[in-house]
Amino acid sequence: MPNPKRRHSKSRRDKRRTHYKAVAPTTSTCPNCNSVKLSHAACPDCGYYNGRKVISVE
Amino acid sequence: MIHRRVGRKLKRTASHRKAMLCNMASSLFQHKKISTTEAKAKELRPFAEALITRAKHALQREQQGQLPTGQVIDIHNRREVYKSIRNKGVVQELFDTIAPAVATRPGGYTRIVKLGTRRGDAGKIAIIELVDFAASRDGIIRTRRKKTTKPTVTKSAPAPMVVTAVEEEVIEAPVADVVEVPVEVVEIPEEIVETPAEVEVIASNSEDVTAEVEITSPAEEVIAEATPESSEVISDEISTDESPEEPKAEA
Repeated sequence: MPNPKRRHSKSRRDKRRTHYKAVAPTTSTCPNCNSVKLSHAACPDCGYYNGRKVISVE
Repeated sequence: MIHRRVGRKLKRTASHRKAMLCNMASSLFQHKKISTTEAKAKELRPFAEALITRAKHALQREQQGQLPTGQVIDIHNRREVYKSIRNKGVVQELFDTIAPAVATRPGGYTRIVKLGTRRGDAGKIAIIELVDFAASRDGIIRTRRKKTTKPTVTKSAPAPMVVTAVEEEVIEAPVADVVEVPVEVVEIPEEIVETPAEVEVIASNSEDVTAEVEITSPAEEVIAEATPESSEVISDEISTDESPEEPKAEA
């Protein structure tokens, strides 16, 4: 079985991880209340999706 | 390579998965709208729609009398569905309430709407609901566009048309022969009787409505204006004959 010859330093480990990034979710504007919402999802503020009320938001 | 592998395992054994889908379909038919994770909703959709289609076909067989002799309801299909929906009340709901409602819908009985992530595990949540029962559950504002356009078409369109039409025919009436005016008047009361019913019923066909309103509205004012001015002999006879008819038709 092949095994690693040398231990990877913290520097190498961290340099590898520089490409691990969080991606912001794609958002869009609600056509009903103009608040920011997820694309292709019901608006959490007004409960509307595609011109109709989907959920009741208190 | 992942080829030709359909469906999600949902971290369950086959029996667990099947039991869960059966329970979720049962809940969907009972409540018409359930909230679950997005993955489960997408798995549930074909499962539930197959059951609805079976109920719809059973309804067609019942209505067209294709059942074995002596049967009134499609017992076989109900028992097949009962394998999945282990609740007689829900099966009855599916066959007696849901199937007639979706009878004219060619598939696509359910709708999935994503709601975002839930607190705790950030799981994606979605609502799956029966399309034909969505209105009865909560106040959906549907056909807003149609309702706003209908009154604007019926109210706005006749008003300018009356003015133009009256101006044209007022000019014609004294100048042209007296004979023409009665001919037009005679034809129109038949349509006046029809239009009040049709304006309400066929309101979607905006062209038809405006076309008929054009005909009726000038005619009413032609009678009103043509009779006192000109055509003393002939139009008086006709107007007296027909003027009592019009208030009845409009009233």
